[in-house]
Amino acid sequence: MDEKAAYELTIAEKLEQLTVPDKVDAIWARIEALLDIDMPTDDGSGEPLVNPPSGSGLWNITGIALFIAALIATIYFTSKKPNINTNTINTPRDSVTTIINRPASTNNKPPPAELAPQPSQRSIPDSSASLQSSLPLPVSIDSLSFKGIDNPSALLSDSIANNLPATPVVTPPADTGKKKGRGVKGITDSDYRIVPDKD
Amino acid sequence: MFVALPEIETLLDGCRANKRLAQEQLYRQFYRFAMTVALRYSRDEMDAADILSHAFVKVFKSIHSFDSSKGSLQTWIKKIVVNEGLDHIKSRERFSHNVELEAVPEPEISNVVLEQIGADEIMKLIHKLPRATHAVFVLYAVEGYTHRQIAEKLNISEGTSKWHLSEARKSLQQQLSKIIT
Repeated sequence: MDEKAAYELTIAEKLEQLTVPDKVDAIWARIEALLDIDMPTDDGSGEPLVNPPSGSGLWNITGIALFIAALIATIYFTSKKPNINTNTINTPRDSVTTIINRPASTNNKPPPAELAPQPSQRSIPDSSASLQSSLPLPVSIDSLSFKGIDNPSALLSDSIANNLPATPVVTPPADTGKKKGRGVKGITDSDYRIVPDKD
Repeated sequence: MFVALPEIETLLDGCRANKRLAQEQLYRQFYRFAMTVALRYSRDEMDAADILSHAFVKVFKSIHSFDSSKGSLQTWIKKIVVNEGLDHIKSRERFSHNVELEAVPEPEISNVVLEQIGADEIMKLIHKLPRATHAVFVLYAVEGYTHRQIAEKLNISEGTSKWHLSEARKSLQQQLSKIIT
Protein backbone atom coordinates (compact mmCIF):
# COMPACT_ATOMS: atom_id res chain seq x y z
CA MET A 1 0.00 0.00 0.00
CA ASP A 2 2.96 2.28 0.61
CA GLU A 3 4.09 1.85 -2.98
CA LYS A 4 3.01 4.49 -5.40
CA ALA A 5 0.95 3.35 -8.31
CA ALA A 6 1.78 4.54 -11.81
CA TYR A 7 -1.37 6.60 -12.04
CA GLU A 8 -0.38 8.47 -8.88
CA LEU A 9 2.86 9.55 -10.48
CA THR A 10 0.86 10.73 -13.46
CA ILE A 11 -1.43 12.72 -11.18
CA ALA A 12 1.55 14.31 -9.43
CA GLU A 13 3.01 15.36 -12.78
CA LYS A 14 -0.30 16.70 -14.01
CA LEU A 15 -0.92 18.74 -10.88
CA GLU A 16 2.31 20.61 -11.51
CA GLN A 17 0.67 21.97 -14.66
CA LEU A 18 -2.35 23.45 -12.94
CA THR A 19 -3.62 26.72 -14.31
CA VAL A 20 -2.75 29.39 -11.81
CA PRO A 21 -5.45 32.05 -11.38
CA ASP A 22 -4.36 35.62 -11.98
CA LYS A 23 -5.01 36.89 -8.50
CA VAL A 24 -1.52 38.05 -7.71
CA ASP A 25 -2.53 41.66 -7.00
CA ALA A 26 -5.69 40.83 -5.05
CA ILE A 27 -3.86 38.35 -2.83
CA TRP A 28 -0.99 40.80 -2.27
CA ALA A 29 -3.51 43.41 -1.16
CA ARG A 30 -4.80 40.94 1.46
CA ILE A 31 -1.28 40.04 2.55
CA GLU A 32 -0.35 43.71 2.84
CA ALA A 33 -3.44 44.44 4.91
CA LEU A 34 -2.60 41.55 7.26
CA LEU A 35 1.02 42.68 7.48
CA ASP A 36 0.00 46.26 8.26
CA ILE A 37 -1.90 44.90 11.27
CA ASP A 38 0.69 42.39 12.46
CA MET A 39 3.92 43.96 11.25
CA PRO A 40 3.54 47.71 10.71
CA THR A 41 6.53 49.23 8.98
CA ASP A 42 8.55 52.31 9.88
CA ASP A 43 8.75 53.50 6.29
CA GLY A 44 5.03 54.27 6.15
CA SER A 45 4.21 51.67 3.56
CA GLY A 46 0.59 51.47 4.63
CA GLU A 47 -1.93 54.04 3.61
CA PRO A 48 -0.05 57.17 2.59
CA LEU A 49 -0.49 60.05 4.97
CA VAL A 50 -2.45 62.97 3.59
CA ASN A 51 0.13 65.77 3.45
CA PRO A 52 1.77 65.30 6.81
CA PRO A 53 2.71 68.67 8.32
CA SER A 54 6.33 69.36 7.45
CA GLY A 55 8.66 71.66 9.34
CA SER A 56 8.10 74.63 7.03
CA GLY A 57 4.34 74.03 7.04
CA LEU A 58 4.35 74.14 10.82
CA TRP A 59 6.19 77.45 10.78
CA ASN A 60 3.72 78.85 8.28
CA ILE A 61 0.81 77.91 10.53
CA THR A 62 2.56 79.46 13.55
CA GLY A 63 3.29 82.63 11.59
CA ILE A 64 -0.33 82.99 10.52
CA ALA A 65 -1.52 82.42 14.09
CA LEU A 66 0.89 85.06 15.42
CA PHE A 67 -0.19 87.51 12.74
CA ILE A 68 -3.86 87.03 13.61
CA ALA A 69 -3.09 87.42 17.32
CA ALA A 70 -1.17 90.63 16.64
CA LEU A 71 -4.00 91.95 14.49
CA ILE A 72 -6.58 91.26 17.21
CA ALA A 73 -4.35 92.89 19.85
CA THR A 74 -3.88 95.98 17.66
CA ILE A 75 -7.63 96.33 17.10
CA TYR A 76 -8.28 95.83 20.81
CA PHE A 77 -5.81 98.46 21.99
CA THR A 78 -6.75 100.89 19.24
CA SER A 79 -10.36 100.77 20.37
CA LYS A 80 -9.25 101.37 23.99
CA LYS A 81 -6.96 104.37 23.30
CA PRO A 82 -9.55 107.17 22.91
CA ASN A 83 -10.84 106.66 26.46
CA ILE A 84 -7.36 106.94 27.91
CA ASN A 85 -6.59 110.13 26.00
CA THR A 86 -9.75 111.93 27.05
CA ASN A 87 -9.30 111.18 30.73
CA THR A 88 -5.65 112.05 31.29
CA ILE A 89 -3.80 115.22 30.57
CA ASN A 90 -0.26 114.44 31.55
CA THR A 91 1.74 117.13 29.87
CA PRO A 92 0.59 120.11 31.98
CA ARG A 93 0.97 118.07 35.12
CA ASP A 94 4.58 117.33 34.22
CA SER A 95 5.23 121.00 33.68
CA VAL A 96 3.95 121.80 37.16
CA THR A 97 6.36 119.30 38.55
CA THR A 98 9.24 121.12 36.94
CA ILE A 99 8.13 124.39 38.53
CA ILE A 100 8.17 122.97 41.98
CA ASN A 101 11.22 120.82 41.46
CA ARG A 102 13.64 123.60 40.72
CA PRO A 103 13.50 125.45 44.03
CA ALA A 104 13.20 122.25 45.93
CA SER A 105 16.24 120.79 44.20
CA THR A 106 18.34 123.60 45.64
CA ASN A 107 17.74 122.16 49.07
CA ASN A 108 17.94 118.55 47.98
CA LYS A 109 14.49 117.99 49.36
CA PRO A 110 11.75 116.18 47.60
CA PRO A 111 9.31 118.62 46.17
CA PRO A 112 5.80 118.68 47.50
CA ALA A 113 4.52 117.86 44.05
CA GLU A 114 6.11 114.45 44.29
CA LEU A 115 3.65 113.62 47.00
CA ALA A 116 0.92 113.86 44.44
CA PRO A 117 -0.37 110.54 43.24
CA GLN A 118 1.41 109.00 40.31
CA PRO A 119 -0.27 109.02 36.93
CA SER A 120 -1.04 105.39 37.24
CA GLN A 121 -2.98 106.15 40.40
CA ARG A 122 -4.98 108.88 38.72
CA SER A 123 -7.18 106.87 36.50
CA ILE A 124 -10.50 108.24 37.73
CA PRO A 125 -12.21 109.66 34.71
CA ASP A 126 -13.25 112.88 36.44
CA SER A 127 -12.86 115.93 34.29
CA SER A 128 -12.72 118.34 37.27
CA ALA A 129 -10.01 116.32 38.93
CA SER A 130 -7.97 116.20 35.77
CA LEU A 131 -8.42 119.91 35.31
CA GLN A 132 -7.25 120.54 38.87
CA SER A 133 -4.24 118.37 38.39
CA SER A 134 -3.33 120.24 35.26
CA LEU A 135 -3.06 123.51 37.17
CA PRO A 136 0.05 124.53 39.19
CA LEU A 137 -0.20 123.31 42.73
CA PRO A 138 -0.25 125.96 45.45
CA VAL A 139 2.91 126.12 47.49
CA SER A 140 2.75 127.32 51.02
CA ILE A 141 5.32 129.97 51.86
CA ASP A 142 5.28 128.96 55.50
CA SER A 143 6.25 125.42 54.61
CA LEU A 144 9.25 126.72 52.72
CA SER A 145 10.34 128.96 55.60
CA PHE A 146 10.04 126.01 57.93
CA LYS A 147 12.69 124.26 55.84
CA GLY A 148 15.28 126.94 56.56
CA ILE A 149 14.74 129.39 53.75
CA ASP A 150 15.06 132.98 54.95
CA ASN A 151 13.11 134.70 52.28
CA PRO A 152 10.83 132.20 50.83
CA SER A 153 8.65 134.69 49.00
CA ALA A 154 11.67 136.00 47.13
CA LEU A 155 12.80 132.51 46.34
CA LEU A 156 9.41 131.55 45.14
CA SER A 157 9.10 134.61 42.99
CA ASP A 158 12.54 133.98 41.53
CA SER A 159 11.74 130.40 40.80
CA ILE A 160 8.47 131.32 39.22
CA ALA A 161 10.11 134.04 37.20
CA ASN A 162 12.78 131.64 36.08
CA ASN A 163 10.32 129.05 35.13
CA LEU A 164 7.72 131.17 33.45
CA PRO A 165 9.07 130.77 29.92
CA ALA A 166 9.31 127.04 30.42
CA THR A 167 5.82 126.75 31.71
CA PRO A 168 3.53 125.60 29.01
CA VAL A 169 0.28 127.33 28.56
CA VAL A 170 -2.25 125.29 30.35
CA THR A 171 -5.46 125.32 28.54
CA PRO A 172 -8.45 123.59 29.96
CA PRO A 173 -9.94 121.04 27.74
CA ALA A 174 -12.23 122.54 25.24
CA ASP A 175 -15.81 122.29 26.29
CA THR A 176 -17.46 120.76 23.40
CA GLY A 177 -20.85 120.93 25.07
CA LYS A 178 -23.36 123.59 23.95
CA LYS A 179 -23.27 126.66 26.16
CA LYS A 180 -26.46 127.67 27.76
CA GLY A 181 -27.46 131.12 26.77
CA ARG A 182 -27.53 133.69 29.56
CA GLY A 183 -30.49 135.96 30.23
CA VAL A 184 -33.54 136.33 28.18
CA LYS A 185 -33.33 136.58 24.49
CA GLY A 186 -34.12 139.97 23.09
CA ILE A 187 -33.30 141.88 26.31
CA THR A 188 -30.03 143.76 26.48
CA ASP A 189 -28.32 145.63 29.32
CA SER A 190 -29.71 148.89 28.07
CA ASP A 191 -33.16 147.61 28.79
CA TYR A 192 -32.30 147.41 32.46
CA ARG A 193 -30.94 150.93 32.67
CA ILE A 194 -33.19 153.08 34.76
CA VAL A 195 -33.37 156.48 33.41
CA PRO A 196 -35.22 159.00 35.56
CA ASP A 197 -37.96 160.66 33.77
CA LYS A 198 -37.31 164.25 33.02
CA ASP A 199 -40.14 166.34 33.90
CA MET B 1 10.58 43.70 -21.85
CA PHE B 2 12.96 41.89 -19.54
CA VAL B 3 13.08 43.18 -16.00
CA ALA B 4 15.96 41.92 -13.92
CA LEU B 5 14.73 40.33 -10.73
CA PRO B 6 16.50 41.29 -7.54
CA GLU B 7 18.77 38.72 -5.98
CA ILE B 8 17.10 36.44 -3.47
CA GLU B 9 19.57 37.44 -0.78
CA THR B 10 18.78 41.12 -1.35
CA LEU B 11 15.07 40.37 -1.07
CA LEU B 12 15.62 38.33 2.07
CA ASP B 13 17.55 41.19 3.66
CA GLY B 14 14.71 43.54 2.79
CA CYS B 15 12.14 41.11 4.19
CA ARG B 16 14.14 40.74 7.39
CA ALA B 17 14.07 44.55 7.68
CA ASN B 18 10.28 44.40 7.21
CA LYS B 19 10.39 46.36 3.95
CA ARG B 20 7.12 46.08 2.07
CA LEU B 21 8.71 46.44 -1.34
CA ALA B 22 11.05 43.50 -0.74
CA GLN B 23 8.18 41.44 0.68
CA GLU B 24 6.04 42.17 -2.36
CA GLN B 25 8.84 41.27 -4.77
CA LEU B 26 9.52 38.01 -2.96
CA TYR B 27 5.81 37.18 -3.00
CA ARG B 28 5.52 37.91 -6.72
CA GLN B 29 8.59 35.84 -7.45
CA PHE B 30 7.13 32.75 -5.72
CA TYR B 31 3.44 33.37 -6.43
CA ARG B 32 3.02 30.84 -9.23
CA PHE B 33 4.83 28.07 -7.42
CA ALA B 34 3.09 28.74 -4.09
CA MET B 35 -0.34 29.04 -5.71
CA THR B 36 0.12 25.67 -7.44
CA VAL B 37 0.78 24.09 -4.05
CA ALA B 38 -2.12 25.92 -2.39
CA LEU B 39 -4.56 24.78 -5.09
CA ARG B 40 -3.88 21.13 -4.23
CA TYR B 41 -5.25 21.62 -0.73
CA SER B 42 -8.17 23.85 -1.60
CA ARG B 43 -11.65 23.36 -2.95
CA ASP B 44 -11.57 26.37 -5.24
CA GLU B 45 -9.58 29.50 -6.11
CA MET B 46 -11.00 31.46 -3.20
CA ASP B 47 -9.86 28.74 -0.82
CA ALA B 48 -6.42 28.76 -2.42
CA ALA B 49 -6.17 32.57 -2.14
CA ASP B 50 -7.04 32.31 1.54
CA ILE B 51 -4.36 29.66 2.11
CA LEU B 52 -1.78 31.62 0.16
CA SER B 53 -2.33 34.95 1.89
CA HIS B 54 -2.05 33.44 5.36
CA ALA B 55 0.95 31.35 4.31
CA PHE B 56 2.89 34.39 3.06
CA VAL B 57 2.12 36.34 6.21
CA LYS B 58 3.71 33.43 8.11
CA VAL B 59 6.64 33.47 5.69
CA PHE B 60 7.34 37.14 6.40
CA LYS B 61 6.76 36.79 10.13
CA SER B 62 9.20 33.91 10.43
CA ILE B 63 11.68 34.99 7.78
CA HIS B 64 14.34 35.36 10.50
CA SER B 65 14.16 31.63 11.14
CA PHE B 66 14.95 30.70 7.54
CA ASP B 67 18.37 29.11 7.25
CA SER B 68 19.63 28.71 3.69
CA SER B 69 22.15 26.10 4.79
CA LYS B 70 19.30 23.74 5.68
CA GLY B 71 17.44 23.98 2.41
CA SER B 72 16.27 26.23 -0.39
CA LEU B 73 13.87 29.09 0.11
CA GLN B 74 11.40 27.43 -2.26
CA THR B 75 11.31 24.26 -0.16
CA TRP B 76 10.86 26.35 2.98
CA ILE B 77 7.97 28.33 1.44
CA LYS B 78 6.35 25.11 0.16
CA LYS B 79 6.47 23.61 3.63
CA ILE B 80 4.70 26.67 5.06
CA VAL B 81 2.05 26.63 2.31
CA VAL B 82 1.38 22.90 2.80
CA ASN B 83 1.06 23.34 6.56
CA GLU B 84 -1.32 26.25 6.04
CA GLY B 85 -3.34 24.14 3.61
CA LEU B 86 -3.61 21.31 6.12
CA ASP B 87 -4.61 23.73 8.87
CA HIS B 88 -7.24 25.06 6.48
CA ILE B 89 -8.63 21.54 5.94
CA LYS B 90 -8.45 20.62 9.62
CA SER B 91 -10.38 23.72 10.59
CA ARG B 92 -13.21 22.67 8.28
CA GLU B 93 -13.36 18.90 8.69
CA ARG B 94 -12.56 16.42 11.40
CA PHE B 95 -10.34 13.52 10.49
CA SER B 96 -11.68 10.14 11.43
CA HIS B 97 -9.64 8.73 14.27
CA ASN B 98 -11.49 5.47 14.76
CA VAL B 99 -10.92 3.99 11.36
CA GLU B 100 -8.07 1.52 11.19
CA LEU B 101 -7.02 -0.15 7.97
CA GLU B 102 -4.07 -2.41 7.55
CA ALA B 103 -4.51 -3.97 4.17
CA VAL B 104 -7.09 -3.61 1.46
CA PRO B 105 -7.14 -4.73 -2.16
CA GLU B 106 -5.85 -1.91 -4.36
CA PRO B 107 -8.31 -0.66 -6.98
CA GLU B 108 -7.03 -0.59 -10.51
CA ILE B 109 -6.92 2.83 -12.14
CA SER B 110 -6.10 3.20 -15.79
CA ASN B 111 -3.05 5.34 -16.26
CA VAL B 112 -3.88 5.70 -19.94
CA VAL B 113 -7.07 7.49 -19.12
CA LEU B 114 -5.32 9.80 -16.69
CA GLU B 115 -2.77 10.79 -19.27
CA GLN B 116 -5.51 11.83 -21.65
CA ILE B 117 -7.20 14.27 -19.34
CA GLY B 118 -5.83 17.62 -18.31
CA ALA B 119 -4.55 18.82 -14.94
CA ASP B 120 -7.63 20.89 -14.21
CA GLU B 121 -9.88 17.88 -14.83
CA ILE B 122 -7.81 15.76 -12.47
CA MET B 123 -8.02 18.49 -9.85
CA LYS B 124 -11.80 18.51 -10.20
CA LEU B 125 -11.80 14.77 -9.48
CA ILE B 126 -9.69 15.30 -6.38
CA HIS B 127 -11.97 18.13 -5.22
CA LYS B 128 -14.86 15.69 -5.14
CA LEU B 129 -13.13 13.70 -2.40
CA PRO B 130 -13.96 14.44 1.23
CA ARG B 131 -11.56 17.09 2.59
CA ALA B 132 -9.67 14.73 4.87
CA THR B 133 -9.35 12.05 2.20
CA HIS B 134 -8.31 14.71 -0.27
CA ALA B 135 -5.54 15.90 2.07
CA VAL B 136 -4.16 12.39 2.69
CA PHE B 137 -4.24 11.54 -1.01
CA VAL B 138 -2.35 14.72 -2.00
CA LEU B 139 0.18 14.31 0.78
CA TYR B 140 0.83 10.71 -0.19
CA ALA B 141 0.46 10.64 -3.98
CA VAL B 142 1.64 14.14 -4.89
CA GLU B 143 3.93 15.37 -2.11
CA GLY B 144 5.48 11.96 -1.43
CA TYR B 145 4.90 11.76 2.30
CA THR B 146 4.80 8.35 3.97
CA HIS B 147 1.85 7.22 6.06
CA ARG B 148 3.93 7.73 9.18
CA GLN B 149 4.69 11.31 8.22
CA ILE B 150 1.06 11.96 7.30
CA ALA B 151 -0.04 10.49 10.62
CA GLU B 152 2.27 12.85 12.48
CA LYS B 153 1.27 15.85 10.44
CA LEU B 154 -2.45 15.30 10.78
CA ASN B 155 -2.31 13.86 14.27
CA ILE B 156 -3.95 10.65 13.19
CA SER B 157 -2.85 7.03 13.18
CA GLU B 158 -1.07 5.42 10.24
CA GLY B 159 -4.03 3.05 9.78
CA THR B 160 -6.36 6.04 9.44
CA SER B 161 -4.04 7.55 6.87
CA LYS B 162 -4.09 4.27 4.90
CA TRP B 163 -7.86 4.13 5.14
CA HIS B 164 -8.18 7.67 3.69
CA LEU B 165 -5.79 6.76 0.86
CA SER B 166 -7.80 3.66 0.09
CA GLU B 167 -11.02 5.67 0.06
CA ALA B 168 -9.43 8.19 -2.28
CA ARG B 169 -8.32 5.51 -4.72
CA LYS B 170 -11.76 3.89 -4.77
CA SER B 171 -13.47 7.20 -5.38
CA LEU B 172 -11.07 8.17 -8.16
CA GLN B 173 -11.50 4.79 -9.84
CA GLN B 174 -15.26 5.21 -9.85
CA GLN B 175 -15.05 8.68 -11.27
CA LEU B 176 -12.55 7.69 -13.96
CA SER B 177 -14.66 4.76 -14.99
CA LYS B 178 -17.57 7.18 -15.47
CA ILE B 179 -15.34 9.32 -17.71
CA ILE B 180 -14.36 6.28 -19.82
CA THR B 181 -17.92 5.17 -20.28
